[in-house]
Amino acid sequence: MKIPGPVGGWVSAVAALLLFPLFVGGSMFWLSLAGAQAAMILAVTKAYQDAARWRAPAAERAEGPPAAG
Amino acid sequence: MSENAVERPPLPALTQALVGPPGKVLLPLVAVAGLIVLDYTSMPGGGSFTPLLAGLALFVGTAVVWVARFAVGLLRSDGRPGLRRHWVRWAAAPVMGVIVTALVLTGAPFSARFALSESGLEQFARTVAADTGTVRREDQWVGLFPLTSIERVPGGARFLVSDTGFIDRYGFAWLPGGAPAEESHSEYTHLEGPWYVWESRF
Repeated sequence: MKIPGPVGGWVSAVAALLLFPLFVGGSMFWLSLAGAQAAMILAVTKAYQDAARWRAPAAERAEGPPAAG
Repeated sequence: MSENAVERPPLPALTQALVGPPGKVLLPLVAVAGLIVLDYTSMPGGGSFTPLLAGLALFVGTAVVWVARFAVGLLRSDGRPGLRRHWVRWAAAPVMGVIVTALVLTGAPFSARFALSESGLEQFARTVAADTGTVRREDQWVGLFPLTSIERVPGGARFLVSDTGFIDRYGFAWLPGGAPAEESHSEYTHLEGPWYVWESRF
């Protein structure tokens, strides 16, 4: 599955979710932590996808242009 | 060298960092979090609360990042070779966590700090106990402890360690004749020899 958005955006979401309990109190701590962990996993997955595409641009070009839509 | 390789924009630094092993940022942050926790537990009754909270926040943040990077690296076929190649760097953060936890559970940070300071503290306590004047002593570092509320007591001396405890405050009492009778706002816990941990209750 291709992760949408930039890696930096996902990392920003992680930071926001980790800071969130500071503003709303400790009651949301575990929920925010779980959200931050999920966002970080998406950020790293996206980074791997970007890196794989960056490493093999020639291979992608050999496959031809991406289909429209 | 192909022309395409020159034209290709570099991989963003953040992307490079996330697909690589823990390095210049994550490992020092884990070490700092560990040192903050070790410093906190090396004080009688625990050190200052604010740095501890910062250290725990740092620990949670680094754990979230490490777990995600390790899990994704492990699950992806293009991530596993990196885990094998840089296993020492991957192992460094959890090893630091285990070492810090073990040291905290065994009370080693407090024992080590007290042992390193004991001779200086004893020399200082003898001076305070022998002091017959009424001049208040200034706060000062003795050994590895910042001391405050330094005073002579019947049979010895006692002093608090700055920024200890959350509500109550903690320090040391040097009482060669044994712990004194119960006091309303003080409690003494025997440490070793003539030394007691002095808890000054709020």
